[in-house]
Amino acid sequence: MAPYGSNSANTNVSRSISFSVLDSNGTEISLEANETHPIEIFIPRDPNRIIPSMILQNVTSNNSKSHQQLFHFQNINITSILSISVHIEIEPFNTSLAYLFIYKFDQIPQLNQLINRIDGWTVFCPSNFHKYFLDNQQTRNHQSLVFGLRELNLSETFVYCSNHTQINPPITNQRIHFTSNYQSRVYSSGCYYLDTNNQWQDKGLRVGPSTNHDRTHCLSIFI
Amino acid sequence: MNSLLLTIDDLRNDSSNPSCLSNRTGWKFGHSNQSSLIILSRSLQSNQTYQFMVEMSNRQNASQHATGYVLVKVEDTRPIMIAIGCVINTLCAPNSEYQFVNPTTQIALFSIPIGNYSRIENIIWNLYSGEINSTANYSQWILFNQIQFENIWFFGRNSSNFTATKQLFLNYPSIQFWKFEVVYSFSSETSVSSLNFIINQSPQNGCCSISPSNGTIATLFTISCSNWSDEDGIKDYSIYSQKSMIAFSSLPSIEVRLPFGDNQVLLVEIRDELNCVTQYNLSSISVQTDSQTMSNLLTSPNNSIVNLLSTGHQNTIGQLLTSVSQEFNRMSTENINRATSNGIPIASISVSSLTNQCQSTNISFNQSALVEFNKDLNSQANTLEYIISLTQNLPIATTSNSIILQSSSLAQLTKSTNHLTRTSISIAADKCYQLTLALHSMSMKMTQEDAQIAAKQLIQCASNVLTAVNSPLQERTIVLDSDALQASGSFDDYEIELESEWLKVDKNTYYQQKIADQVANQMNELVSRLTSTLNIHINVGQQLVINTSEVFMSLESQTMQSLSNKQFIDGLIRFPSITTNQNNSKIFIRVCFHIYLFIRNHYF
Repeated sequence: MAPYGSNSANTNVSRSISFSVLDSNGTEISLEANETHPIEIFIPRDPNRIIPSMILQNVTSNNSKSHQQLFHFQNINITSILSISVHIEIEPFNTSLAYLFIYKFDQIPQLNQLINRIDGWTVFCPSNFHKYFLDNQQTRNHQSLVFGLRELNLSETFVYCSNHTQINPPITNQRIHFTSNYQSRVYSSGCYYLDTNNQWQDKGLRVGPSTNHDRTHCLSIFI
Repeated sequence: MNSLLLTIDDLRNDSSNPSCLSNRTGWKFGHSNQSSLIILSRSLQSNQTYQFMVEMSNRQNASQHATGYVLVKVEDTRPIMIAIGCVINTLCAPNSEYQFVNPTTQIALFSIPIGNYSRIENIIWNLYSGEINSTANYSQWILFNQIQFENIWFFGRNSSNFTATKQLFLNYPSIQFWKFEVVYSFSSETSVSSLNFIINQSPQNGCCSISPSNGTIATLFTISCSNWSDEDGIKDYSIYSQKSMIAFSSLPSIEVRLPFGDNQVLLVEIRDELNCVTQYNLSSISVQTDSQTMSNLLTSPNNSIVNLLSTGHQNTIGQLLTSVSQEFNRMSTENINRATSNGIPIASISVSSLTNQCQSTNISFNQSALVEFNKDLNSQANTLEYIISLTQNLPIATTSNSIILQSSSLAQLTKSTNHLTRTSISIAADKCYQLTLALHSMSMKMTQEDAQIAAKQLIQCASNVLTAVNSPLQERTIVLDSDALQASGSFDDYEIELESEWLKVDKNTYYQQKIADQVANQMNELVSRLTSTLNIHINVGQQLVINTSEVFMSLESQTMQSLSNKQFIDGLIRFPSITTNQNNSKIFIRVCFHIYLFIRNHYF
């Protein structure tokens, strides 16, 4: 677990789990599962780890400034030798607001009526807590992740937060206007195994969606 | 004779070939009313066909008869012999037609067909309880209903190896005789073999006492046992404090020093020559400590640890190491608590145990508290290094008591992982590894219980040194002064490798990493040796669990197909459904849960 944007003093707070299948001679046997039905491993973290508090995003202060930005962006450096997952947490002060969330790897995402240059999007419907997660296979071979957030207006909220699934994101050319601030926290996680040379590897391991502050959820296709 | 049929007991039939049997005593009636007939061995000749006829008369009307026939063809076959033996043969001491079995340990048997045989179609083990009619010297065996305890007390009923746990003997204390029978069905024939057991009596009728009833960690307590009797003779007495061995002796009176603790209940195990054990609880005692007794123990000329350790007496050394290390662990916990209450984040100075609950700190950080913590930490680390270095000279004897005693000490000495210098780590890792090799070398002679007690201490030691060696690398604990000093004074490989491109770490990290690699390899080997030592005692379906605050280890034997949809460690590991081409093959599963992820590369 490595939090971003603050003094990340204690990042190596994971426990470790080992699982071995041996034959009658004590020789290790390898087992294979598949991508759709992987072996799941939940690895707890040290209960005394320090979780940094959320960082205030004072987005309303930008309203008076002159700019033409359509989103509020945050840039995360995800350079790492072994692959990592990225977990984004958003806590709005006004929980009745909805947000459009977009991201792109290695450059600033662009989304307006002319350009659609994003790697993914989602709508955060009104709630007191939002999270978004990119697993280590999605982040592999990328150096940075840039994500953008904007508040949805009432009609957009109505369309995107009713029961109908929308295929395309809401698009506007109007500059952002936040009516309320929010707090955010971003951390990374990883799933690694020790190979026969005592080296940590990430091949065949995926960080799963149940990863949280207390544990890492790992999906493996072999043991 | 003269067209009359003679009965088998008629003396007029041919005396040299009575009723075609080889002699007149070659048969007997199986029941007083002659309704059954037993032909004794070697009475029938091979390659002959015999006809047996039975004629029954009606009791009320003697003129009414009924007859029946059976034809028996005698063929020479060579039945396949099935050899049966105890997996741990030292636990099956022979006693004429019986083997002794200890009710305090499990019994694990193996069987092997001898000679050439066709495919084995089926194996089944049956268990009989025996009653001996002493006047007739005749034993009656009653089939025991195993089904209800299958995979609870009994394991491997349909395989070559069969295990009955000690629960069987403990739940049926009145049964003195047991017979284990194995039936092999081959495609052409069936072979049966069995082994009879008599319960060995554990030492009886004695008692033990301790005096004085309280004292300090420097006090010499006397534990006296008396009046213990056993047909096989008493082998030794061993003393345990909370599952950690304090002492063992072949003499009934032992002088011991005890670790700190209020109302401790010590356990004495009285063992007979055939390893049958009786446990006896001593009345509770209180042992005090203070910094004065501790420093007396360390420095005073008459009582100094160095003097006592130089006696070379295993018990004395073991007790002192246990007392002193428990004292250290207590002081270390106090230091950490003091530091946390002054706002130092606990995760930056120690690695929490598996049972540790979250301790929140919202107090502002106090720099002087950190300085104070460091001072205590370093002074204690140096003393601990000195004490650990004394274990180097202890010879390792290949007796289970000696291995358990030393392993207990090492598990305690390494418990305060943030206090271990590189020298301490290297000595402790090596000692625990050597103890594991000694344990492994005598694995075929030890009871499951003894092997498990020793393994529990050794896996804790392994987990402790791994945590200790990796925590400073992860910036989880503070680099100890003596390590930093030692690094700065060394000018060897580091200087050479510094030239090469990849070396971008400071000197202390370099040496720490080097020893971390060494320890990782040594501990991998340790875990693998412990596994093979314990696997000897595990039959299909059996599980062995070691659960401590430092490490959780579970070993079990299963078939490959049982892995499908199975969960381990309360759902921390979950298997999907798995298909393999070796569904029925027997496998061993080892699951370990360590308190620490000893990852080498530190990126974030």
